[in-house]
Amino acid sequence: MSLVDVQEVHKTFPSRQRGGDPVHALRGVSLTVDEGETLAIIGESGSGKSTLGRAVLRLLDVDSGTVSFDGKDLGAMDRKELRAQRAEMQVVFQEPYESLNPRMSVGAIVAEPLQIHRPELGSSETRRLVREALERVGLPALAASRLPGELSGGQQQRVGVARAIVSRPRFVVLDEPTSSLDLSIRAQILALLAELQEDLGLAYLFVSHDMHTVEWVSDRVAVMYLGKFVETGPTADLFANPQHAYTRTLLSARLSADPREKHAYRAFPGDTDVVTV
Amino acid sequence: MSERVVSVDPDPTEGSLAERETVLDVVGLDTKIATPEGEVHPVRGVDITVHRGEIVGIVGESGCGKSTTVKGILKLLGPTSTVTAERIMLGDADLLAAKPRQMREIRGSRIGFVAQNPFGSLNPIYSIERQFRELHKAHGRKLGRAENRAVALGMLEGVGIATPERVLDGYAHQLSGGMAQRVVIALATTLSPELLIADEPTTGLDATVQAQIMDLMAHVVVEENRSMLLVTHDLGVIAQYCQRVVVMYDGLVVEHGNVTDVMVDPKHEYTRKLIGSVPKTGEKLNVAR
Amino acid sequence: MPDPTTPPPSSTAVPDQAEDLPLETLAEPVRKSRGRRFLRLIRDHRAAATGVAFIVLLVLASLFAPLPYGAEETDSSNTLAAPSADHWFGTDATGADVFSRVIVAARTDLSLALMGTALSLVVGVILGLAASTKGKGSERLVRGLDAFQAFPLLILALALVSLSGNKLYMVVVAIGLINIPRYMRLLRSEILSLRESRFIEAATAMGASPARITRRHILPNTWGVILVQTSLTIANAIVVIASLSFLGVGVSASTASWGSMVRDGSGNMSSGEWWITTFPGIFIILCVLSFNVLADAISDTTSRSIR
Repeated sequence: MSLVDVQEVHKTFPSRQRGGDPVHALRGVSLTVDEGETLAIIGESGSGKSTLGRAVLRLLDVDSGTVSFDGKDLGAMDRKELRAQRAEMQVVFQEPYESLNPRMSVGAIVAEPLQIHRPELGSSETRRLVREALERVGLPALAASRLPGELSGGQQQRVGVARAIVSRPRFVVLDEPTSSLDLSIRAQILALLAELQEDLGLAYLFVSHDMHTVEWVSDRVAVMYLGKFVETGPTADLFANPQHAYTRTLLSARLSADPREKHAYRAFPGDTDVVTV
Repeated sequence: MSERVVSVDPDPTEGSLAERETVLDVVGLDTKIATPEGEVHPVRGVDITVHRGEIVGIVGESGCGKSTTVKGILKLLGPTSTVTAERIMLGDADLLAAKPRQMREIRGSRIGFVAQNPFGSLNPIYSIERQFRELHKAHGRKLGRAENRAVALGMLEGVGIATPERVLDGYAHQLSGGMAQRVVIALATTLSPELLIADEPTTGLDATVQAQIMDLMAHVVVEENRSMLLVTHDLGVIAQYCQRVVVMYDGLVVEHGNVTDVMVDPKHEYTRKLIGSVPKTGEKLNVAR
Repeated sequence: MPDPTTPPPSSTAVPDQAEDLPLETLAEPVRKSRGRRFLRLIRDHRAAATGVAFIVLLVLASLFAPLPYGAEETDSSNTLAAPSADHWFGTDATGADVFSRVIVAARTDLSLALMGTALSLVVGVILGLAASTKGKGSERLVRGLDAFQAFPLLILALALVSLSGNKLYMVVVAIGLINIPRYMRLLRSEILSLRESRFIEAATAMGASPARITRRHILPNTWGVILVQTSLTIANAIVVIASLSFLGVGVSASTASWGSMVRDGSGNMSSGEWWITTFPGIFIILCVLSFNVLADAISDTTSRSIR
């Protein structure tokens, strides 16, 4: 049985404009994530990938379909059950600074999941676990007394990761975790995430728009376009042999950092606003 | 499905580079900015050369001073800043000594600027057509309505917009990010500037849109024998579109040269670190499993 | 042109550790000592510091300072005397020392302003919290607020106080009422915008209950704007009290209050005795200015956009 099982979810948002068409963010999406594996969702803006990430954690309610974690239907849980369940399913967001309370110290931020889910631990035990989490993500113990604003972007994201793992989750949704970071930091954070996955047996749902990152970190990948998956499969296969036209378009838009490798961009037939000059 | 291959680097032998006209020559560029905490030097001793027909990239991470460098060249830094250099020449025009009025003339007609956020460059309350008209007016050219429209339509078609009439009559907020950037490129090239300066023009755009926009800009440069100075943090953009690259770190140029040389065989440790941190196509993240 | 393939001589040392920021810099005391930070704060906000000093001195003087004359001390032989060494601000129509009266009046004006502000703070924050929940109830509350604010509030205060028989506590209530809408609006907009923050979403995602989120994440991030609003409210309250006592409402005629002093002396302006109206007026202005400038300074220092 898969750890995460999403079946045919639909989600529509009302239009932002008066009398405009509603936005079909999810149009019948299904996926599974097994223990210890990384499933990547790749898509561009408007594909619905962030909505999907939130739906999987029930940070928003879907209109139809089911989201199950460890065999339990998240949609059927009441608020209290859901909150308790969250100890096992965490998230790391894209913008490191935005996701941390600017007035809380790093130590308090990382301690909070423990205070919520394991209030029986004494304060010294909590502190010890916080220190351990900080060490695991490569931050020194003295970072605990700092405020988020005193850290660099990479360090802030490490705090976000520490917070996500301190309650020993089994599943983490990574929503573009390195997109806002500088190039040289990205590799470090990704390496950290891979190491943690190995050590803690985590399953990841990795949402991204960057093909190189996705190819690098994931076991399986799903290509998302306008609320649906157009192609899924093992990463190496899909990248070597894309079947769907949109997948091919996406892959052709990759810009290799090696100037000797030239990719030629192939336009997707659905794009009617522009003509190739 | 059409396939489009953009070939932007003619064989960069030393000889052909030396023969080409120098469009931009910057030597020893320094910028100082006065802040409440004291003076900062975001750019120190930077040299940049751009030849006609060439795309030169400035690459670096946040805070390295790449944006400040080009804004310094364009004299678009605020009043708290001081720009000094040994030389800043645009062809035969001395940008360093240029007065504000001369710079205003040069910007738009001899240097086209494409910024990161197209919606910041487009006036939200003017129709696109009006923005073309205002551009001409600002440079002392008064065109009749029909003539302005014809010119503008031509420019919009030239940047690959399939429905130029509709875009021309509309407003910036009705456009997607990619479309808006195309309009900005059209405006930036209307007066046929010899140099285009683009500051992270595709950052934040989807990968497919980025490929289209970069293809477009490269096409504009190559086809019309212009030149471009391109600021980016994306090594893929540098590798695929630039002939020469300048690598910046902490306000200094740490390495520069032909793209192929610098990116395949970097000499400076920072460049190596930067290039090493980007996953190459087909690479897999290997944790000791 | 130098050989493009060799690095230029002035290459910067690059952190060779595989860390985005050398760990050592975290060990540096990023925060300077409290004392130095406080001094720096004062230096950056001189106007506000001056204002605070003025208010503090005024309060202390009004409560404890030995005044040259009693506020009620009249001297019919020395009425309407111009400012002099004896009477710094001159004397009024009853021969009382204007300076002493101005200082003593601070007791009335400032204490009423503070009490009224405290009332509007407490009620306004509670209502603001209520108005920021999702649902019909808060919507109705906000509409009710709009309706309430449409009424000219100074008139309302006037009516309340005089109809109650000029009870002093009604002045406090009136000020409270007038300023509740400001706090409500402020809290509501601040909370609604905070609710959209990523770190609030993160708190939900980690399983925090709504109560916990409000307590630990939302409220602590609103203190800044609440403080700013409080300072501004005090300034406004001073003006309201002065207005009310100018109109002869609320404060009894014998109690010294800047507003009534201004009124008492206004008749003398045309006959050239400017000091009776002017000095209380100046003090009103200085107090209001001080609180406004303080509000600016608080706003600066508690701004959330520090990175």
